[in-house]
Amino acid sequence: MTRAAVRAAIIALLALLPTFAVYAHPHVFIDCTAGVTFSGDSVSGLHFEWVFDELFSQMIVADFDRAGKGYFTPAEAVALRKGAFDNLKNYHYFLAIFVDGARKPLPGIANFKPSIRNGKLVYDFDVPLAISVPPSGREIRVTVYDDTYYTAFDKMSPGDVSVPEDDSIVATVSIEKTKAKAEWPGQWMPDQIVLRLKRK
Amino acid sequence: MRRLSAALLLIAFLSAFAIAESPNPFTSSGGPTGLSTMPVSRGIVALAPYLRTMTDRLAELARTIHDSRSPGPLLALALVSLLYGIFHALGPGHGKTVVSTYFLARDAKVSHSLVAGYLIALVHAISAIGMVIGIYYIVRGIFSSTFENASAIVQAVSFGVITLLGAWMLFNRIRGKEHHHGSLENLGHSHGHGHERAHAHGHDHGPGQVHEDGLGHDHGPDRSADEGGLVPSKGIAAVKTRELLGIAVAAGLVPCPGASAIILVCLSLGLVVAGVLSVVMISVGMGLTVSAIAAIAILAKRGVVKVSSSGRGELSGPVRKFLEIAGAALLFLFGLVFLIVQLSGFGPL
Repeated sequence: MTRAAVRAAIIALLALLPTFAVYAHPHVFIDCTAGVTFSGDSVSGLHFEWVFDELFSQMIVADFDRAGKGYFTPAEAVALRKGAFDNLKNYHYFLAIFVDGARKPLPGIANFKPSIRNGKLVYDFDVPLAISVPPSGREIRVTVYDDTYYTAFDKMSPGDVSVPEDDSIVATVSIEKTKAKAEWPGQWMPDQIVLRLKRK
Repeated sequence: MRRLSAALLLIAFLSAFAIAESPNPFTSSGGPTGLSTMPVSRGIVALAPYLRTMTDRLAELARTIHDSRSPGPLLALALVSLLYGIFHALGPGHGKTVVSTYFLARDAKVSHSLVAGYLIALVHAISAIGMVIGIYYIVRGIFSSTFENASAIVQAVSFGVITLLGAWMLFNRIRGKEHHHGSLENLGHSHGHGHERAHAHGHDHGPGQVHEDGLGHDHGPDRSADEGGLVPSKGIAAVKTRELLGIAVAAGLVPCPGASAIILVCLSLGLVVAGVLSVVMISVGMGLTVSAIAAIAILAKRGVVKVSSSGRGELSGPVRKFLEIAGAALLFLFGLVFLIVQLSGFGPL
C-alpha cells in the first residue's frame, strides 16, 4: 500500500511538474525613471515617472480620455487617479524603501499627474521623505517591483536615476540585486536603486 | 500513506499558485490575494521583454489598421496575436494545472490534450469576445474596472465548475467500487483485475494493439465517452466528453486580460473585425500551449508508468486507485479553496 502510494505520488508530481514551471506573467509593462530631491542635509523626496506599454496605455486612454483629445482634463485626471492608480496603495505603489537596511513604511504619494506622451500613458508622482544624511553617510535602497508580477518594470540603469548637484550631499547611484534571499530555486530577484549618500 | 499525503499537499500547494489570474492592480479594488504574490521564476522574467514587444506590436498594428484600412496589417495582427497567445499562456491562469490534473486522473491519449486545447480556445474566444463587447456596449463608461469586476464573477463561476467536476469524479470513483459505472469503458478498468486491454474497443483495432497517441483516429472524445471507444491501457477510467467540456469551461471561461485589452483597443478604434480576429488567434495560441503542456503531463505519466511497472505498461490496482482519487480530490480542493478565496474577496460587489 505504501509503495503504491509513493508510486502514485511520483507519477502525480512528474506529470504536473510542467504546469507550475512558471508562476506569473506580466500584462502591463512600465519604463521607470526616478529622481532624488535634497533639502539641507536630508533627502526630501523621490520622484517617479512611469511610461506604460502601448496596449495598457491605449486601454486606459480609451477609458479616461473619452473624447480622444490626447490629454486628460482635470476632471478626467481625477477619475483616472481613482480608477487606475489609487488602488496601488494596496500594492504599496510597487515601491519598497530601505534606509540602511531597514524597511521604511511608505509615507504616501504626492503630486500624482497622469499624461499622454507620444500615445503612451505616463504617470508622474512624488514620494515625500525626510531622511537625514548623517556625517557617517546613508544607504537608501528602493525596490520598484510588483509582487504579483502583473506589472513588469523594464530593467533600470543608473542613468535612469537623476540626482541633482547639491551643496551638502554627494550621492552615488547604482542598480543592484536586492539583498533579500530567494525562497525558491530559480526564483528571480528584483533589482534595487541604490543611493549611497555622504555629507560633503 | 503519510508520504502520499505530503506529496499531494505539496502539489496542491504549488498548483494553487498557478491556477488563477491575479487581478489587475491598477483597475481592480483591493490588494493582491496571498496566492498571487508568489516567487517569479527567472524564465518568465527572461520572457517578459518578448511579451512586451508583442503587446506593443499588437497595439501599434491596431492603430495601423485603423489608419491604413489595408489587409496587410490584419494578417500581421493575426500572426502576432497567435504568438502572443502561445507565449502568454505559459503563465498561470490558463488552465494548465486543471487540465493536467484532470488527465492525471484519467486514462488520456495525447490527442485528448489537443481536443482539450481546442475546446479551451473556443470557450475562451467566445467568453472574451462576449464579455468585452457586452460590457463595452452596455457600460460605455469606464471599462477597465467594470471588466475587472465582471471577471471576478466569471472567475468564481470557473472555480465552481472545477469544484463540481472534482466532486463528480470523486463520486463516480467511489460509486465505481460497486460496479455502478454509467459508461461502458469504466467497467472492469478501475479495479485492477489485470485485463485492461481485453475490451472496450469501440473501433476497428485489434484488442492487443496499443495506441501510441491516438492521433489520426476518426473519433473525438465524444464518441469514446458514449460508446466506450477508448483504450484504457493503463486501467484508469477513460476521458469523458462531459468532463472534458467542464475542464474547457473551467480553463477558458475567464478572459485573459491581454486579450481583453487588445479587443477593447480595437473597439475603441472602431475595429470590430480586427478585435475579434485578434482574440480568436490569441485563444488558438493559448490552446496550443495548454495542449502542449497537457501532452507533456500525459507523456510524463506514461513514462513513469512504464518505468515503474516493470515494463508491463500497467499500473497496479492501488496506484491507479490513488491516481484517480487524488486527481479528482485535487480538482475538488483547488476549485473549493479558490472559490472561497474569490467569493470572500468580492467586497462591495
